[in-house]
Amino acid sequence: MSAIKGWLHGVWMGLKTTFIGLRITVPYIFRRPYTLQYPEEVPEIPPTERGLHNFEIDKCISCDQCAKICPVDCIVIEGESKGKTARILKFEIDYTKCLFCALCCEPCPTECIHMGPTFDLVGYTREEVIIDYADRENPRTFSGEEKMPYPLESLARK
Amino acid sequence: MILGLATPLSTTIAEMLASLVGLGASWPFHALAMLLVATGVVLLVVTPIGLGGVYLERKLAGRMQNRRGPNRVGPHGLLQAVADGVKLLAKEDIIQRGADEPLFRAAPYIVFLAAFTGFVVLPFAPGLVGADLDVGIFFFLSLIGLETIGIVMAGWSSNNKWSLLGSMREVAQVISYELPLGISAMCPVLVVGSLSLNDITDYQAGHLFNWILVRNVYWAIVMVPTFLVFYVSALAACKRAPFDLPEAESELTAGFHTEYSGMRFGLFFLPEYALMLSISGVMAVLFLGGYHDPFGLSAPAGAMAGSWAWGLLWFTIKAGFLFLTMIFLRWTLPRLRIDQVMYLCYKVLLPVSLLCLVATAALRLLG
Repeated sequence: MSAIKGWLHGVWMGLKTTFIGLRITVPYIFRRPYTLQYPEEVPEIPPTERGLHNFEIDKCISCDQCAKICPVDCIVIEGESKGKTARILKFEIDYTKCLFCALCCEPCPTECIHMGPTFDLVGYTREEVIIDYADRENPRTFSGEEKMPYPLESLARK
Repeated sequence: MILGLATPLSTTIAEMLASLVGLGASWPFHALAMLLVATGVVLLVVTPIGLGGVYLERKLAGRMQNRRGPNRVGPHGLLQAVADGVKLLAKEDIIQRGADEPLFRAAPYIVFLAAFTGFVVLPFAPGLVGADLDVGIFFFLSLIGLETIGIVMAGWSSNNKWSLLGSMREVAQVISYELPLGISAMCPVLVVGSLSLNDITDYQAGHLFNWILVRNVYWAIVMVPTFLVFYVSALAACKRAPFDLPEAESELTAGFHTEYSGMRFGLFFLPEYALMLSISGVMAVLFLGGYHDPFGLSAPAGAMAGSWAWGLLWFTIKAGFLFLTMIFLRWTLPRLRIDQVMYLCYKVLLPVSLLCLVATAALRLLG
């Protein structure tokens, strides 16, 4: 008798758990999908995102601190100084090497290098992802704070 | 010409279409033309339905997992299945070393034919049936058995252990689900006294409480378990999760069709959905009154086209609902082990279906 009881219990549990499962999965059909349609929709980047650098060329004094602290040696700076003014000839970051650790932002005496919100650097060649921030014909540098997408970002990013 | 009165497909729908384009019976290549037209009907009507099934499944699967599903090709991704079909056609047809070539080449065609021929006996609307065979349901169930042969051929001829394991599981599964499937299909047949799907549909004409499933309380007590047994066995027959052991992506790569590429893979893929749709239709016919509407309304007055459309609408609603529940179950339940399938079929479904058969006989005796 207990065998039949166990069998009936098994059948009942099989049916019941199936419907419990359906009750969980089926309502998802009517919910909004979570997927972001990436190329068309851009995800919201948190203010402390460590993406491509924001570099303020006007502040830079080419002191080489960032290049020295870089653990992977991805920053190459060439500059010349005349008295009190410095002129940056080359400020190259090799993004094939860069590991986005933000250590370069820490020692900067003039706070001219920050981590930016851009995350989608791609290129067809290795040369394309080596960015020269001092290239004045193709400027990728930002002067001032107005390019920062968040008001408090400059504080957060140091 | 009235379609489908105890005549095979090649002399009804196909013949009508052929006479439309002026190829009468006196034409020398009449039989060949009939064959071509019948093929055309299948390719033009049934294949888009199968592709629609693929799209629906992918879309619903996406939504059930908080994704969007296909949405890149065409509006709302509607052309994704077509794009996939074109891609499969363009791919290389690889036959690997060590394969049993004739069997390997033939297997997909057997599966494809078996699954798509099932539509022939389905009564979609009054008078709209490919062939009103006297042995309709028997014919349909034997086609499912025929499909298995194609799968076993594929698994054996592939010279691949995953394929072989998949087809071994398929055989083990077939011998377990075919008994409850056949026996539970016998219950409506016992009630109606005919194997013809058209007769079974006509028996349930009228309103909801003429359906075999819910004729009255006593009938419901017997027929609801029968229906559930048939439904579960049908899931197993379609090799759908939770009974997708012959494919079992996570265990056997792709099971019996691991070694197939290009359109030969497509010829395994599309029949899965075709079989789901046709077996949903059979379930609708056997238990849910086929093309009859549940309110006892007559078809909108007018020509045959009106009653066709009305019948087709209700048939589509019923079969479509069952098809949807199959999709829901696939994305809800995990896969069973082979011994669990055996347990379910032999120790649960088989006794229940036998009990239902006896109870149906008693119901029939008592009126």
